[in-house]
Amino acid sequence: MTVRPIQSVLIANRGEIAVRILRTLRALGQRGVVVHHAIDANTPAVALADQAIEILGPTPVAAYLDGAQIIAAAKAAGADAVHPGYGFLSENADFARACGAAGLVFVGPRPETIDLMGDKVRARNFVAERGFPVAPSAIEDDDPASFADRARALGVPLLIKPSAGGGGKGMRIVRDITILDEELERGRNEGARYFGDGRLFVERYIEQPRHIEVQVLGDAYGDVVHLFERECSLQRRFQKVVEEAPSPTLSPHERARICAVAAGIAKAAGYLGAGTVEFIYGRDEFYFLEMNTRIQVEHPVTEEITGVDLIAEQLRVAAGEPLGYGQEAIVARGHAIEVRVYAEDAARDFAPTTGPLLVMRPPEGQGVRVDAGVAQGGAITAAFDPMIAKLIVHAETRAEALERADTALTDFIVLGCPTNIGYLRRLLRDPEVRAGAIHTGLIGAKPALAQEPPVADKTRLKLLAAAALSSRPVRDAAETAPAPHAAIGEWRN
Amino acid sequence: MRHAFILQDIEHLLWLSKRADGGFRLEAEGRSHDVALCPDGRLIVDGETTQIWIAASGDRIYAHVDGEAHELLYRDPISRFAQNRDGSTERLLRAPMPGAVVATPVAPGQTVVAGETLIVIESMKLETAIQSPRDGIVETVHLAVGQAFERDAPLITLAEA
Repeated sequence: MTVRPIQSVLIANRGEIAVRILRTLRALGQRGVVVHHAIDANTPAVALADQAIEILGPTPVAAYLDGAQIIAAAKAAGADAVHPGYGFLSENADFARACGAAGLVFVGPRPETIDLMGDKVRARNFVAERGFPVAPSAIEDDDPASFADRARALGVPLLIKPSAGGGGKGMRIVRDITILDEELERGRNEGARYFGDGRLFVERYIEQPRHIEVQVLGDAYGDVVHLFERECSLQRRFQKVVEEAPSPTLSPHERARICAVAAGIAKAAGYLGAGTVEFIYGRDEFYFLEMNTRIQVEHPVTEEITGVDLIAEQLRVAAGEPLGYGQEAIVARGHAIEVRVYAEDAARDFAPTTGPLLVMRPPEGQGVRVDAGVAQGGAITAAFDPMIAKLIVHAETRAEALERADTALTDFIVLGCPTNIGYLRRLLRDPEVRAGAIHTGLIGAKPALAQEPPVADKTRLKLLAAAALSSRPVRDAAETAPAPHAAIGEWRN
Repeated sequence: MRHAFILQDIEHLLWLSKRADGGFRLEAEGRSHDVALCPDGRLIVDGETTQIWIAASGDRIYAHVDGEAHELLYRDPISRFAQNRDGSTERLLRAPMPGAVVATPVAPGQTVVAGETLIVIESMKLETAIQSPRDGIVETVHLAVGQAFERDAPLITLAEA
């Protein structure tokens, strides 16, 4: 492979990750081009880009999934590379191939690697065959007729997953073996609907598991380094809510082992670019879960503790440059925590909310980073997921990072739609969370945290005063009418 | 007549009046307070100053105060009166979140029992079966399979059994 310098990059994504990539391109002096659906015309990514090209689609999401249209835009803009971000086309091997065929560098792994890791069953077999740890499991494809019996033989609790799945879609936990057949049928239907593929596999489920993942980086010459682990055990319905690095639970020995396994898997796969090997950890054991062949939402916590710009490294190795450093060059310092700020109503079962961002004032300060794809004057719509921003804090210790996150959340002002900011503060103050005693079921086990506590009397009075003074009808009535009755004066305190 | 604001599902009545010196007086929760809101976002209540952020959209007021954002809903006296007299809202099941309809297992005229699934919706990655809160007869199915809707959109109207 020869080095092929990248001068101009088309970003096949939107929102905060498009902004994140543009920042690095700017720092590197490379040109950044974004594609955007009309609904995103007034977003920071479009404003920040050197060039913005509108793409069309029957829905906004469909526009960002239209690979042919995006490749045509990249060619028209004179881009020499395409960065897919996460989601959308980022793990679509055909898109990666099409980029290559069009003479564009796909900023990601080789298409074969995407194919391999995108098929959960193949990926698991690949990892198991090379001696890395996987959970006991039953795969439907091995012998569909005996699948249910083999699943039953594993014993409860079980986790049903669509073979083609990802991101927690269609996954089901079975604790009662008598409803296994029913749950398999449900999983099959969901898999067919979400992924057009109803094949399933079932594996032993670890109760109160922790989700620990390792960031890896590989170059075109077979060199791989890891950038330590992230713990993402605070999840809701398999979606991550809080991510941190390092994991508060791993001993130095366990850390060395899990990171070495991740790097080993990446090396065995000839991995090119940035990727994440995800593990399930419980009772001092860990199993390979899956490998994500893209930059991840939570990559900033790794950047904060290592000082490495992962997007810059992606671009460098995609251009054919060697890593140029070894494992010993990667040093972690301090503790970083990311929380995902969403437009959602925690008290209404975290239902997504929509609305205009009438006020949006992200926090600032030492060790505080905000990656946002929307700004004041913009809006959260039902067209995409309701993420407002990622808040990332970095401090010397975990306790200090939690403190910093709490302060930053307090200073994070978003008005116009309900957000989960209050919920995130309550979650980070939970004694078990503070103690690092977390697992993927913790959020579900603490529904009380989702309920907004009643406002303090003093705060309520301030809210009513502010509301009264800024409501037109209330103010008009005060301006035009005399005091309604003389008694008010006597209530003065 | 006083003004009504809903905060955390509770209605609060208040009255604002102007003092002879041009300042405002707020009557709320049985007491009277001197209040002022400066253009720079300082709220002064009985001489005590707090920095607030506030924005309004229609009848909704959003305010960030003491480290947290809250939403207040202004209820104008007429709609307040109307809703208190008319129980129709209880017959109507509304969407708990924006999404799309996945299935409509019931038809108008059908008798249903409490807990029976009336409509299945999908929002983000989540499928939710909306169940009947009580026994009744389906009067209207407001949406068809595949149709998208916003939060609080009418889904099913239920008549008495």
